[in-house]
Amino acid sequence: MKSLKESLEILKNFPIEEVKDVKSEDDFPKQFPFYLKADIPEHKTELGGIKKCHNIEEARKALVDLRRKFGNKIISQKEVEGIEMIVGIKKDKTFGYLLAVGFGGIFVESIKDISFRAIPVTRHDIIDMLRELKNFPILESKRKKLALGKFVKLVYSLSKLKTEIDLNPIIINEKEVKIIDARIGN
Amino acid sequence: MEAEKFFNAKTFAVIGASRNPKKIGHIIFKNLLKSPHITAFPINPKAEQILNHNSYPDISSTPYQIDCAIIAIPAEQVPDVLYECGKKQVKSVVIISAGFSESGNSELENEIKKIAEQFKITLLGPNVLGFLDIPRLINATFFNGMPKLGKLAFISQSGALGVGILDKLIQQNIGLSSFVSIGNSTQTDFSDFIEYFSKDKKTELIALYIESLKPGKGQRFLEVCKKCKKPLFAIKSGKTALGQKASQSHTAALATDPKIYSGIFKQSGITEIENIRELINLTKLYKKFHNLKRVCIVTNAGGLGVLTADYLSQKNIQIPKLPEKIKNKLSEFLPTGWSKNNPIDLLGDALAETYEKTLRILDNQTFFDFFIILLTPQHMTQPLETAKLLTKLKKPVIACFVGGSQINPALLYLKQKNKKVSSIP
Repeated sequence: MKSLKESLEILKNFPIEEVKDVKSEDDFPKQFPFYLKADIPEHKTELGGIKKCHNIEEARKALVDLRRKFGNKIISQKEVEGIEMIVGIKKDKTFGYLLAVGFGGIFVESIKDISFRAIPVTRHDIIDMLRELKNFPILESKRKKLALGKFVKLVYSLSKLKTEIDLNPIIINEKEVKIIDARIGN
Repeated sequence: MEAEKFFNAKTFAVIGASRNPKKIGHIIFKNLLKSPHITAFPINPKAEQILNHNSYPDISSTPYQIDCAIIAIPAEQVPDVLYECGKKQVKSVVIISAGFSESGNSELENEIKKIAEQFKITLLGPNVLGFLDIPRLINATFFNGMPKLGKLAFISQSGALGVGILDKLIQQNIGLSSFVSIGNSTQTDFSDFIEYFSKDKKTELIALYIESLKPGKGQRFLEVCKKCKKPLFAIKSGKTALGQKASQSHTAALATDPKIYSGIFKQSGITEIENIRELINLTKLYKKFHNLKRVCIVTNAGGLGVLTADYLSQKNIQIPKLPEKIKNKLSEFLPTGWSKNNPIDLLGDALAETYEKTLRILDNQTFFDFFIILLTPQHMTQPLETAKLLTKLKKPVIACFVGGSQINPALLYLKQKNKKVSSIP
């Protein structure tokens, strides 16, 4: 597995929420809240490698903690609001590459709301995949018109990448779609 | 179109035909003799005659061109015999014998695969029940029986389960066009037979029993199914939801067999069904209902209506809203608590008369194509009287009465008196 920065480099033509290296507190983003993350290939959340910082004190403490546990590769990322999705591509001995689309976030493996198709897929297949999700009504809610069209377009272009990827979360809100975290196989 | 060779074959040889009526080779030969459209030869080095037919010691000593050889001998002898079939230019071979990759003997299976390739033999198996070509009354299996002629082609990965399915279909009086058990599918696979049946004029619908597709065969399967214009149904077994544990990616952890296959089925236009019972019901209903898309559900049990509506929406059946005019008409006599929409819940105390008034109004409407009438035997319910009404309707009706002894007379009535009504227990 590649690190987050290496993974994002491969995805540089896709809408990624920018990450910045944090060497010291001078590198903190100007606006709170933001996230500090240890750039490790493993599941960061489970190991405590992600900290949300609401103010300077929290940020200083988080930086010290992360450095002690994970070393010096620390990055910052702005908070993006919206619905957390997951998009993945997995090699399969029967079908070649499989595309997965579902609800993401840290509870992804508990929610288990995900659908699969064999690549190549059409845009129509991707729309079907979304409709199949148990929680699809959340995406369709009339109160907030989410940028679903952009999401479908993004998933379609991702499906052309012939590599194992795990993008979780990808956030959809009213304006845009942003890849927040990515793990790409070697 | 490799699979065609099995369904065109006119001369058959059973290698391993036996005089012992309990041996598989004997049963297959006996089954083949029942077809007036083909010739079958027994091959057995130790017997002179089997079932009054002259036996040949090996396939090369038969004086005829053999189109299809059925091999039912111990696994380790299969490669030699298959080689002889190649020399004899046999076009297709069914290997009934087990004892190959399914029991860990992949090398032996590779060997027969290579021989088949070398001689361009079309191979079914190994480890299969065989196949049935029902329009020609050919039973090239060791299953004892012949389903009646119908429009359904069934392709089963499991042979043992295939026997169970065939027996059940005969009991339920369901017709078939063909049956194939594909076993280890070392060469011909689901895709080859789906391709064949999608062009076969005697087949109108195709059902699959799938355990799992062989490595590398998924993309062709998708391609063939997408091209197939006939309705495809699949039962997927082995639905344990075990993901790949200890995996690094969320995607891999969530990629369970049932999740993947239900996606693949949707992508390839296959309707996934849960069990043989569902298949039997679908087959019964197919003839009358396959081009009807819009349903009106009338029930005396709200919950049953909801369950049915849920199920139907999964199967792409539309449940149109009731036009205002109809709503008003029905409100004139239905109790105020009625559902005021489709499914029409007449409430638990609905008498046959209530059903009658409702159905009479609806029967002349054009906003839907067919009825589903649901009923549970509640305190005031008149199952038999209600059943009698259904026979008078102009639109097609599916009656689904749920209960036991209290609804039996009604079901019996529907079964005997009227063919227009399809009742599902």
